[in-house]
Amino acid sequence: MKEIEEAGFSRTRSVRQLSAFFLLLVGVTILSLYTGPAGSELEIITKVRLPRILLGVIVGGTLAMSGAVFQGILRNPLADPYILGTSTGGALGAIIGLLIFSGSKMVSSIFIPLLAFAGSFLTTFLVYLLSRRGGRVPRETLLLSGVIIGTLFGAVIMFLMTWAEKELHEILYVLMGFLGIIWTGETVTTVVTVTVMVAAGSAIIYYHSRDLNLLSLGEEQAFSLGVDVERTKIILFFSASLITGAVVSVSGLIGFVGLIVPHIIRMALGSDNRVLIPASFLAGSSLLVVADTVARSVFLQEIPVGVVTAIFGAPFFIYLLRRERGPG
Amino acid sequence: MKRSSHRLAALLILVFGSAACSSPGDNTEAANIIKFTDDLGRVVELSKRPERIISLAPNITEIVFFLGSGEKLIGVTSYCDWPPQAREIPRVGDFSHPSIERIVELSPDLVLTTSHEQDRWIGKLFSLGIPVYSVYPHDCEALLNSMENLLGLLGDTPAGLDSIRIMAEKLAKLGKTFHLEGNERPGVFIEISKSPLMTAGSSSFVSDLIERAGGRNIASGLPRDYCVINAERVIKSDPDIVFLFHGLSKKEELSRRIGWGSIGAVKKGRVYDDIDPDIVLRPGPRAVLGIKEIGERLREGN
Amino acid sequence: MSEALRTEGVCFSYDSKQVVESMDLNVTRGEIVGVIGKNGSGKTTLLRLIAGWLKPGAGEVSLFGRSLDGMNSNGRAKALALLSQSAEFTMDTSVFELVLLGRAPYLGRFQEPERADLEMVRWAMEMTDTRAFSLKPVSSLSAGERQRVMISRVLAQGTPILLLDEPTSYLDIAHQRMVMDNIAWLRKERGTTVLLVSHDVNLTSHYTDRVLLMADGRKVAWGPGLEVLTKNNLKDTYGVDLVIEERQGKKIILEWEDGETRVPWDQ
Repeated sequence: MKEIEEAGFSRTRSVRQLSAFFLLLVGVTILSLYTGPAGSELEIITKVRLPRILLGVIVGGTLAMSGAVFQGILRNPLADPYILGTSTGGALGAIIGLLIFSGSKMVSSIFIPLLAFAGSFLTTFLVYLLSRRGGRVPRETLLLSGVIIGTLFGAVIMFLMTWAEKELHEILYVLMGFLGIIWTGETVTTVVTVTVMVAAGSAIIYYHSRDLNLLSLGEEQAFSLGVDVERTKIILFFSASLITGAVVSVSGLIGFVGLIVPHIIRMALGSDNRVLIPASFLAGSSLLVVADTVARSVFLQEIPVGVVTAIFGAPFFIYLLRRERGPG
Repeated sequence: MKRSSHRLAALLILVFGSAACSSPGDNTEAANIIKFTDDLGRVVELSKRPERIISLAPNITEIVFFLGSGEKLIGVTSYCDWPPQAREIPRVGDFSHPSIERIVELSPDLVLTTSHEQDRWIGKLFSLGIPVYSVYPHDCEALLNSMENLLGLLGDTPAGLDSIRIMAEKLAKLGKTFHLEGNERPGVFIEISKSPLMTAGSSSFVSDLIERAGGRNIASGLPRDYCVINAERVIKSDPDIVFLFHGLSKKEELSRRIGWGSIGAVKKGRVYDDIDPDIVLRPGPRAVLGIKEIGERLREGN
Repeated sequence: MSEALRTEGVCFSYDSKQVVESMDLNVTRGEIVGVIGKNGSGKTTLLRLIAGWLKPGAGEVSLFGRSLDGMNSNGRAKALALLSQSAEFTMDTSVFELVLLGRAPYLGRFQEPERADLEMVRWAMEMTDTRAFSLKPVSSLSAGERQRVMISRVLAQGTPILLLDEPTSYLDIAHQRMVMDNIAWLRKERGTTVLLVSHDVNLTSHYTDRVLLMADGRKVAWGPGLEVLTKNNLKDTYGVDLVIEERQGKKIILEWEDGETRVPWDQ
């Protein structure tokens, strides 16, 4: 027995574990397809539900995976895309777009996601610039800069909201996270673009998963084991930020997914990022699909999905914190 | 509905919060005191007829002009654009963010507000000693009552009373013209906003207009005036008519929305984006025009 | 090539303070070199410069005659292993998996460890007497146990050069001896070259071939322990009068001399 466990990374075991999560995702998706306010009769409902579920898969997976990456880079279990200001920057871009393009019709569906994407990219860049110390990016300053910029942009959003009148409801839904967008030709293009970006970013991140493992030893140690520490940190940081920005531009701010999912996966499967990263994606997808199913089915009026994740996420996170503290 | 003019033996009510026991229409006029109960149940007290009035909602501005007291308006919101004379009146901010400073600067005798959304401003205005009266009708019937009350507060004039009476007659006539039996009524989807997708529930004013015009609001189960609605529900309820009451979508767009192509309204091309939203969304004198516009379009198919 | 490691004129400054100044060092293959000096004398910085983690402001580091600058990261990882002073790791993992990370330079990103790698890991853990908690989570270990695990990780890397910063921290005497004996064994059996920074002058004296005494980033003395570890040198460096004797061909500090206690506020 000891021999088996003293075996390190096993591809077959990883594939088995990931397959389990994939099946979970498939199961959740099927259940969700049949759940909703309009019942399960019409094929047309699947035309409305299926795109929404796919969106949930992409958004949930991205948020969870980004959370795992940020927690790995910063070696801080409380890191997630929101703490680092990335998502807030994306939301700010989206809101600016909403206010500028509030009159025009089709233009907005192209420009708002672009602006959101630009917002999160610029925020990431700003946070990076702010936290550089002599050619390095120490994680403490990265975290601090992220929090500060995130708070600053949050304040700007609040300020902009005092100017908004007709757009208030829409802005609120951006801030609370909402997957129930109306799909038209342009929306499909936007979501496909986002998906391609997520795929590319995820591939880059996955390629670097072992580096994340080595980084957990400490940067000096990782360096001595052959990791190009600064370059890896930057690549990972930007990749995670960009895919987060991409999804925030279509779904708004959804919290707790990036924070909680990596923790759960770690408890279940361990901390090897080569498994943690893809498993987080799959679990995050499943979680958000479930949350969105709840959001659209429970009450007559739709709840923003960000509210559901917060309501269930916060107490669960408190529970996780207490568990970790208990035996230690 | 007449204004009853019995005296209440109550003491002077100095604090405007004691609303609970009054209903709109309990009004008093004594030698130097005018006491009216507004649409939200609050008792408002004035020592003389208001001559300097500020309106904090576009529909209220329309009503004040309609009642013949337009020249008493000294301040309105930036959205108050009808009648055209309203555009000349100084602005005090918008619906959600009126400028208390500007209001105080203009030293009004009366400030008119609408729904509970504006409640937070009311506290501030009370504490500055400015009387506030709310006008908030949910349907046409209530609109007529509100206008009567407001006219009473401002001082009954024959012209004002006439305007109200004529409007009541027109409403009755339109009601007859467009009346349909239950099962003949076409299902109507009212789209107030696209993202998020929002509609008007049965407690909203526009829903009443739809009903009076012979339609059936498919969202009548929804709890509030304006609610977010899931596209699934819209598609499932298969409305015969869709009205777009926001400027953001043209009617052609609906057929491009994935999943919406199967809706009766879209298949038959009965999507309308050409009614001015202000006419139907503002509870005010133009409601008559709104019913007419809606009703005509509802009939087009036949 | 008998030269394992060389620094020529290496300088490093930080915040306009010169931390290492013009360091020339030459270490032969299979040598064990000790680096001692006061806190802040630049010992750790020197180690980091040699490891390549810090880039010198001037001067050059070479390993086996090749410039460190020109080496790619994988080549470097197979040439030298660095044990840092403070063990910081956050991955909640088993001891075995942590030591296995030391094999990373030899494994592809998604490659499963081979038998040889697993053997190396087991051997490394045997050397530090940590095999018993191979499957325990690292977070459940004591500081001393963790230190030994980190040493295992470095051993598992199987490099011809070892840079060790305070390897005996947290260890009791038995384990201190064990670790130092490991180092001596490696030198004897594998020709490993070791550079070790330590506060323990006796340990350094006993196990090293040559000693580098540093102060203010500069080389104060460099040579066999017998020559370098004199009462005067140590008094100049540490400011303490020490009683030093020679035993078994090595210098050993017995105690510090009773002298006037210098209490700063006792004026």
